[in-house]
Amino acid sequence: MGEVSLETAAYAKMILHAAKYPHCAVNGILLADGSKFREGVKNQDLDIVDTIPLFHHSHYLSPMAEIALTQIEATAQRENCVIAGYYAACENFKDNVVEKCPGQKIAEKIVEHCPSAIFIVVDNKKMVQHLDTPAIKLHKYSDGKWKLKDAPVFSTPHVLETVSHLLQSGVQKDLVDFDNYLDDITQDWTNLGIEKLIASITASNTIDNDSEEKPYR
Amino acid sequence: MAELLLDPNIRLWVFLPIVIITFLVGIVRHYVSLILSSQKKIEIIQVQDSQVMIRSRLLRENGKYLPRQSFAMRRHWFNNEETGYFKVQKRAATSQNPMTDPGMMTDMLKGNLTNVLPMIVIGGWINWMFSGFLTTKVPFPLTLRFKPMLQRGVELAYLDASWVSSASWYFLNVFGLRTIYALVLGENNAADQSKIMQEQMSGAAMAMPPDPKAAFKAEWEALEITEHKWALANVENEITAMES
Amino acid sequence: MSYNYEDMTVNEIKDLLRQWRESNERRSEDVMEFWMAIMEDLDKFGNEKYVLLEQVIYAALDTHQYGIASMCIVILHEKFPGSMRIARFRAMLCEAKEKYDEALEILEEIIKADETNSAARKRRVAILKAQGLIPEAIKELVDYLKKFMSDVEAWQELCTLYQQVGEYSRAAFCAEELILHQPHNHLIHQLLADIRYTMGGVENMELAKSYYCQALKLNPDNMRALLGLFLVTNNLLNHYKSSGNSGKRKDVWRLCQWAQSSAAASQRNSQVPLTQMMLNLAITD
Repeated sequence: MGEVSLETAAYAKMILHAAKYPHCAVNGILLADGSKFREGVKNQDLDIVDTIPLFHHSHYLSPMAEIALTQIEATAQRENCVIAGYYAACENFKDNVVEKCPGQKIAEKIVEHCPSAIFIVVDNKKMVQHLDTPAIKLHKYSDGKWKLKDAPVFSTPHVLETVSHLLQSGVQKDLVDFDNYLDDITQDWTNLGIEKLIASITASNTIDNDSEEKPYR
Repeated sequence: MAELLLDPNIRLWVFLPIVIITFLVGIVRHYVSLILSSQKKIEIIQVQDSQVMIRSRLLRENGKYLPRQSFAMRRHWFNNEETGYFKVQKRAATSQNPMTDPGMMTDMLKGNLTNVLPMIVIGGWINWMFSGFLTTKVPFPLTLRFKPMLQRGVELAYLDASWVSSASWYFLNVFGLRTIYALVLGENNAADQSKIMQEQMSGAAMAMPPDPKAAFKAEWEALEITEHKWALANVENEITAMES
Repeated sequence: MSYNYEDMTVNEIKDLLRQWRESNERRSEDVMEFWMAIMEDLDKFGNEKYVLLEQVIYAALDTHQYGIASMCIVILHEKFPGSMRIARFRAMLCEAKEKYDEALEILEEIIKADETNSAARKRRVAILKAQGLIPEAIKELVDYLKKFMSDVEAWQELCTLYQQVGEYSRAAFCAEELILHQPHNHLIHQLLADIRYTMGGVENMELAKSYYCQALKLNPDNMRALLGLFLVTNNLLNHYKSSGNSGKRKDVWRLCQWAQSSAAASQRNSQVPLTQMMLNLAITD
């Protein structure tokens, strides 16, 4: 019990968000599959299917976070997902602990609604163009504190290869977070484009296992 | 009136030499002043004073965008009788006599050395060497009033006013070569005489650093009488009206 | 969006780099790519060469290419020996390599030689911040601001730092200072409103409402201010409902309606419209 699995798209958006703003702290929301989710149960399995990148500046101000969360909650309900966690990356390269991350209040709020929520910290030191480790740290809430857990399992194969590919081809520039959306409301913060791209890569990966060099657009 | 003809030797030995000499002197002056000039050092206290003045002025001008309490708090900080910045900070009145400041003395000396001295020496020398020549004629008629300006050193009552004497030609060059210097030496060069003339006119007032004590007092008064008028009092109605 | 820098002429690159420099865009990776392309043609840049080198130094430090950064510093140093500005770049190089003590030493020397060098003083704050010593950085920055009171950039940074440690009333003070300096910048009005909203309480909400309105007056397209106004009015509406202040409640109600309809109007060309549910949040009156 308490297993956490990540889908490629969810993981990719998180890493791309951190890569798009290497000089800023970033944060975002994790969405879990709602069909297997049971309300209020502690320590249950989570299947993280999507992430919503939120902000890269003004992390310590609440109004826009409120807007974003209301908005995400509504969207999540429509897509049969639940808000099940929070991710953040610190501004400072060396800070890779929960305590230094922005928006811990948001994370605690999420825990109130979903006791088995997780907190992912992007490990700045392990972020490289060729990812050989997931470069994230998973935390669970227990006794009023975030406790470090084992790295999550990926529910799809070749995740690291796919995300490394995305990083090398500069896809992070096309990622839209909620801050971008508020600057220009014609942008799409659900990042459907990137999701489609990942789906096509995954599809070609499953057809041809060593499709590392396959060209794609 | 019979047309005057100038000896071509005047062109070769008076007209051109004056142009060349003034030009070269300007160049030399530029480099000498570069060597002599010392970067004026600004005291941190001066920076602080000027920044305080800016902040206080902005408070007076834009204080209306702050809530009354924030405005009052800031004014209190500047103006409070016991602890206000303008009351607490005591600045010594700057010495009125620049002679007491040796740094300023050297500056003045250097200024004189590069500006006034060459002007007198070269001017005198040109006057002595080339006096009494007519050098050129401006190609348009001029009224008699221009005679003292253009015919310095040639006191002929019936000479046409468009003739230019050697001494006047020198002065025309001194003031007229400015753009050439800008071309050769770049902007803000030190060769330009006319700038120095301007400086000497207003120089006395400019050179004196503003007295912070008096400035503080003036700012204190201005701030004291500033009334706070909350500029955002009606903004809600304004924006709702803007749309409809 | 990436550039095919091999097809671009030197002049095009030059213009693009100048544009980034002027608009303060931090496109370090692109700058470094261009640098590779134009390195040989450096002399064609004339006097712009030195500004360009500075730009490259920043980009190189950003992308951890310390070799290139120190090479640029050497070129500049040969041209302007003894320049404080270049000493500052050396300090930044040390800083990037995390040799903080060395960097501080260089900065100390600069400040000793020229007390009024504000950039060097600000770098000291940056070093403290890089080490994660936020309270110390705040202290240093406050000291700095005692001397350079009208440095907008410094007030802004102090505002961010105070937010980070949760001292919102002090952050609000800094934001007010920013408004004094730039009363026509809608982003600062919005920032102050955000801070006031975060602080909470009826008085702060009222202020937040005014400042959101001011931000919208200065720039009607400021989406954050519009949504913020919507939140604030909702909040105030709930408050006045319980306290029974019907006069004020009516005003706020009108404003709330206005904010909602404007937000809905600007949503029309959005790909992901704000859900109606969100906009119906509190309009249950």
